[in-house]
Amino acid sequence: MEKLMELLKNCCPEIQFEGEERLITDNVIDSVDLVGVISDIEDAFGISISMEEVVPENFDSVDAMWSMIQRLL
Amino acid sequence: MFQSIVDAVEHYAHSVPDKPCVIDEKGEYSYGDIWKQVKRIASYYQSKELKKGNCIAVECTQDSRFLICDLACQLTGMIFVPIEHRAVQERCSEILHSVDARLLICETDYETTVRKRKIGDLFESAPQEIASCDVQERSPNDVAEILYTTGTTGKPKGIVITNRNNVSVAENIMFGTEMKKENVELIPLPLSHSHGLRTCYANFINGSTVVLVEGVMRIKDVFDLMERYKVTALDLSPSAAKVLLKLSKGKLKDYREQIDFVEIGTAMLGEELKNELCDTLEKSRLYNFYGSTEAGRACILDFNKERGMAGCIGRPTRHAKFVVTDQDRNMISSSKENMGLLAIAGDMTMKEYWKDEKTTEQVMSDGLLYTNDLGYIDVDGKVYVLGRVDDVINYKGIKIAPEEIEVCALRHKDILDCACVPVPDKMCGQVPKLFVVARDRENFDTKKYVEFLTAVLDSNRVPKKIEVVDAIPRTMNGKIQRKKLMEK
Repeated sequence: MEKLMELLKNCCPEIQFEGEERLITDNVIDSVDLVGVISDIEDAFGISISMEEVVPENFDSVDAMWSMIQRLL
Repeated sequence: MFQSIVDAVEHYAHSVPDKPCVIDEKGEYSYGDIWKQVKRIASYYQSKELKKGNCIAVECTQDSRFLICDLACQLTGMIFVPIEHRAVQERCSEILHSVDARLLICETDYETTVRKRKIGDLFESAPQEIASCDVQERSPNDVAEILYTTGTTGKPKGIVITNRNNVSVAENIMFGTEMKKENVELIPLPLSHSHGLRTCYANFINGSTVVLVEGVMRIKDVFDLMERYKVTALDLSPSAAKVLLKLSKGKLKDYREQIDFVEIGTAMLGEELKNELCDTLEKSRLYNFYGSTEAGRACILDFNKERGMAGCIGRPTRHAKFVVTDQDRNMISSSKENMGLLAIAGDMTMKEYWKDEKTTEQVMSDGLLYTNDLGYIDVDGKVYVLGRVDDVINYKGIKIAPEEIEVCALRHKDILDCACVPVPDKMCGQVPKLFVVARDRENFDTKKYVEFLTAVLDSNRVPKKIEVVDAIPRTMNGKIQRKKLMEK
């Protein structure tokens, strides 16, 4: 989880990820940033995130992203 | 030729009432449905004693309701003033004050003394029974809307657009893209800005269908819509196209038989992205439009058909004419060796800037709208643009487009984003300065990066200064705000 948080802060230093529960739903993170996040997660964890996984349920919070990563490992 | 966009909708509501007009996340609405709702909302406007020429501001909800509010303004001669979805209070207040709005229709809870109606309430509770709607006689010269810019080049301006302007832009798009009668076009771009809104108008003039979605981030939804409604066209910005390609991981290629055309605008389209789109949709017409809110969709290039023509923006559209002038606005015979400033004429050029006669006179005279774009017209009538004259780097007399440097700069794996601007230099006049967003800012090795740039760029294009920043300032449409960087 720490590795994920560090990656997110590097990717999007202007976003406060802690405590955010609606990153996608409220457009806190935009689509261009999301592409960067997905690319970095794939590289860092050696997983492939398919189009079907790119939904608010998987990216609205750091916890949600972490659950998705665990599932895809 | 229709006198206004709403005239077209009325026409198709009578001739093909069941044909889909607008599809959004709430449902599918035919031309007949939309026309009925337009008259309903128009009656509501008049019940509030609003009159021809009054301004009605509407927050964009990226759905049929927003377009209905727009068309109802056209029907009654009122002036439509779109506001971005969830615009900040200050922006909303500024626009409301500037146009002396008589009504605000919105979703966000704005604080204002202007009469306000929540869009959800309006569409739920406005009377279904249409009282006699006092339809104003519509003239092509009537003001249809005021579109506020995002202020790429300074303070936001209100651009006054007439019915004639709207119909001309719509025809520029319709004829330019060879739009078929059965077109079904997906529009993820915000309808509060001219590009997406005018694509809707083009489809309405054509009697075809728009499918509205809020951005491309919910990528699965985008493809579900493409599948369900057999989408034949996409209206994208360069950043939306990049996101679509990256997130879909090749799935867009599955639609190469289905997609008739893609139209791209709002910002410069890089060569790399052009190539990727050509490889993905090799059978589709791929259009890049050049234009502005002030002069809509003035030039068009099918970059799938005409490849490898760096800087070419194509040919003027149906209602557009281009000339090239010197700095004093004298017409010149232009060429690659003798570039000048582009100026545009045509019925799609705006009427004026709202309450700003001075700026209007600065950019418009003698039927021409003068741009700050440096370019030329070749012997075949094709138009070329190097870049905005203020953005172009004049290095020892050599004119360099910032995009040439940015495209190469982005190829480095440690760079997430970049922008290049001219900075003064005593010896060279100007030199390129590159701002970069590094993947790992703390460990970014500027020296190694310069070595990389030296290997990929001509020596006169290697940036003389590099600055690492947290983010490149961009407008909502993805355009780089170079002025902000030049002020640093």
